[in-house]
Amino acid sequence: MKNGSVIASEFMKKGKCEICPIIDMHGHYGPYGWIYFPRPYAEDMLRSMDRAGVEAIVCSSHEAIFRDTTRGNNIMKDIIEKYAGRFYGYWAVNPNFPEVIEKDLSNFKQKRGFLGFKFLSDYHQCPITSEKYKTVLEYADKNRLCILMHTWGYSPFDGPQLVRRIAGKYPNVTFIMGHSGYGEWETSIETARLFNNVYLELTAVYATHEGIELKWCPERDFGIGVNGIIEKMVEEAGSEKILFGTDLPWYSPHYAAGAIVFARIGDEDIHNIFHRNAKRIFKKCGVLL
Amino acid sequence: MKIFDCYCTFGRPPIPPFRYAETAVELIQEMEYCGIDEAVVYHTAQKDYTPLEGNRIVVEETMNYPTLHPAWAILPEQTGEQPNPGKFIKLMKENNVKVLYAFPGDHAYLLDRLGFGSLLDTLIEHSIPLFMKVNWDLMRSVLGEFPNLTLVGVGSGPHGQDRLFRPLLERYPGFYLDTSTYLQDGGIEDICKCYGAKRLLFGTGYPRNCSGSSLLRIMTAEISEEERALICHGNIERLLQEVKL
Repeated sequence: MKNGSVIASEFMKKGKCEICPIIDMHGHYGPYGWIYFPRPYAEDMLRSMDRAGVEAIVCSSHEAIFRDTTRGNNIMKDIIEKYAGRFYGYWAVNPNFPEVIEKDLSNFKQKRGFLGFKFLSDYHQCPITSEKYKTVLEYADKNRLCILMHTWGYSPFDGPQLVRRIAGKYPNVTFIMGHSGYGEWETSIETARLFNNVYLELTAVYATHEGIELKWCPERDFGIGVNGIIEKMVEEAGSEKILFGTDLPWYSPHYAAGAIVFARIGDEDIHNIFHRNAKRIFKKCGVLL
Repeated sequence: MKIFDCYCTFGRPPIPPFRYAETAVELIQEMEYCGIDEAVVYHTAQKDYTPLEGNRIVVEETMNYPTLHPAWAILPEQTGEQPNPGKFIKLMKENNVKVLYAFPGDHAYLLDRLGFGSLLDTLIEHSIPLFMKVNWDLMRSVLGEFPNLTLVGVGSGPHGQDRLFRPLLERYPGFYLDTSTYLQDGGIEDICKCYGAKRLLFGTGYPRNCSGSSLLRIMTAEISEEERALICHGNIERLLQEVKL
């Protein structure tokens, strides 16, 4: 192997690197009907995390984002309490149920271990710029919280152009672009570069998506492979604006880490992506790691 | 551990990824960067231009690099673009080609007994593996018509499709899956447990995907060293050795 990265070498030998732990900023929890997960629950997730040197993961439960928000968020709350220091959370928001949002915000400060909120606008079919998100955005801005948004290239619900419209309006919110606006790379990278409070998150960036998974993308972008995109992000947005994520239990942490430690970037960049940037966000949100 | 990539490509693609190998030398450099020893390769011209030229190009460009094993693309016999199966096998032998690819979507044909009966029966007779980008409906119908075919599905996509491919693994012993985009956590381990490590081939999907991703995944999978060796090189080497030309 001619890859000279010390971190890559450690990962190849031991499956992890003690001097470079990982904080996974995009996880989920529990089963989901569209896909078979061999390891959807906490104990198995922890086993995968331990093997890859993932110290902590920030999750939203599948139940919260796809079915019963209240029940699903409470499942996540229980997991965070049970596995303190390993599991953290995003409180899932479904804009189609405003009465639930109002109730959740009224006692959000009592919910320990949550960095902020999770938006899944493509699936809930409500643009992130909609008035329906306004109360959450204002609350997050006032309390300097974080919002992990599913973002997908050219989406009318959460494409990077829409992220720009809210990023400047709520400067105290840390916006994490989940999947980095997959496919609309130039705009996504520029958005992260232009706005101090916007980060690119790498889940889904590790392998090329095709066909139906790119429903909003113009035909040209169907063909773009992802190989080399991490280097482009580092060069143009800076490694200080990139976060590690896996969608665990969807994607293997090792598959994800492989794309980063074998990218043509420096070990300092890898440190930023794997843990430094995440720690900065934890601190800003007032959540102890 | 020897690493043998069953699924990678070189040549200039019409829509290039951010990084790719235009020549065989560049591909070898990429392999060396990751520590990959050998590879079954096709040239982009075979898929994106035409097999008529591409099959010649891949042989020419790899002939001085014994760690690169060229694969050819197939076309139906009826248009006369490709020789009859007997002559085609003879040409494969002359050019040391032991793997074939089908690109039915790109080359506008139906991969079925009507168009390919003679050729696919010949592949079975000679134990020649046929690789194709995953298309579950098509692969299910091909294996239904040719249950003894050695068929390798590559690039299954990042979202776990176990419900679609596990019936094929269960029913057809000659069906294999590459690991290039089999991302889900615990998936490789589960396949090894349920069907055995003999059914998986290490692949990178380079240049569309970073070679290091599937490499680190397989090197750290929770499987035995014997299972890892089969996936990393043993299975593809056995498939190549079994080819009778």
